[in-house]
Amino acid sequence: MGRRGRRLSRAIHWLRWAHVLVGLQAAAALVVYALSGFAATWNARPGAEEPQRRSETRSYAPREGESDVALAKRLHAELALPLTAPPEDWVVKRDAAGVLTFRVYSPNGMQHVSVPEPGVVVVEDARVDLATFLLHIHAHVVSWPVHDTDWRLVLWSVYNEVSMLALLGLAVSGIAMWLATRPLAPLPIAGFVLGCASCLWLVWGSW
Amino acid sequence: MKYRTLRDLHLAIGAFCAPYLVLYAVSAVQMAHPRLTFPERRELAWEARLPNGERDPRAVHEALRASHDVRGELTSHRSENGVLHLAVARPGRRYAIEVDAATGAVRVKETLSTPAFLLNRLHHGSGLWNREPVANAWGAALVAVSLGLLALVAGGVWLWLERPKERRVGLVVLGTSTLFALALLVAIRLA
Repeated sequence: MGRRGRRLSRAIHWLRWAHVLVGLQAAAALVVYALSGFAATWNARPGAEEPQRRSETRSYAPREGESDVALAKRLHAELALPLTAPPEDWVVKRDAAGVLTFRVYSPNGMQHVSVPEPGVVVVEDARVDLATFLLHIHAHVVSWPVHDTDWRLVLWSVYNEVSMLALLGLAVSGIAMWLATRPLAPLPIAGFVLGCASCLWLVWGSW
Repeated sequence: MKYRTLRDLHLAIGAFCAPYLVLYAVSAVQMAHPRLTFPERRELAWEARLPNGERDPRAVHEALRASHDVRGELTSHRSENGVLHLAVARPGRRYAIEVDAATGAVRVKETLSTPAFLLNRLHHGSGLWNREPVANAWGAALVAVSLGLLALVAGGVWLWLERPKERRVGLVVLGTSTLFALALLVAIRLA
């Protein structure tokens, strides 16, 4: 083996090492991504039902002259709705009956808050099933500026985004190792041709 | 199973899934960082006339599909002041259609997706019960790639276990990251 061959061999050794470690690091996220693919398929079935809402009525102390937005933000803080960020100004609305409402979201589902009369607040919790939870959580990433106020979601976002890049790296490094070591192996060639042809056909057909 | 056979199988599954995974990963990065998108879309406006005086939304869609290649899912429709409004969408295009019920005249606003938006829409495509055959084929590909991803993880772990030199460091990486992810998932789900 010449000098160039040894250099290539060493490069492949380290690339394989990185491929293994990155794959192991991202393994749990990749399983979540795969399960969310099944969940998306399951949720798109005919007759899929919306999650049932569980309603809870609570009280709060009204303040004179408090604006709708200020009240909504105060209620969000007092109700301590888990994993949710405070409502943006534009989601605070009054419905046709004049009732103040707003919605907040988390990977566990949507929470609809309404104030039917001063001092009374109703929280409707539409908690999603496990399949939809996986679907939501696989898409939860760091957004900028960071809206998440909960440390669990911030940590998951970082892990998820790293894993997303890891997936890209695994695909590229896998192809690179294949081409560098056994480019004429028939099984990978068949897989690659089938994958590329079907993907291009579907992208073209969807255009 | 022999190491070489499993390695070739791992590689073949990975090679099949690679274009899909790259598409999903690139669109995921794009969705996570919306500044990376290119929001410009091309809009076309054109007119047609329904030959048979059809007014049923699905029949109108079918007629336009046959005559003007308006493929996609009929996402909404409503009738207002004698005008039928239809929305049809597929990952690459959206159509806003107005049909004059009296004359059968059709006005269409066609919006073409940018490549980034096309990837975004494809990322969200799923299901095996769509009206569009291509959408169902994409849904089937999603199931195949999800199965492939599970096989890649299982096969990758198996291959790693077959390499004694890498076991110790790998075990630390796999154990730490899996426990970390599982703990977070449980903590978030139970919140």
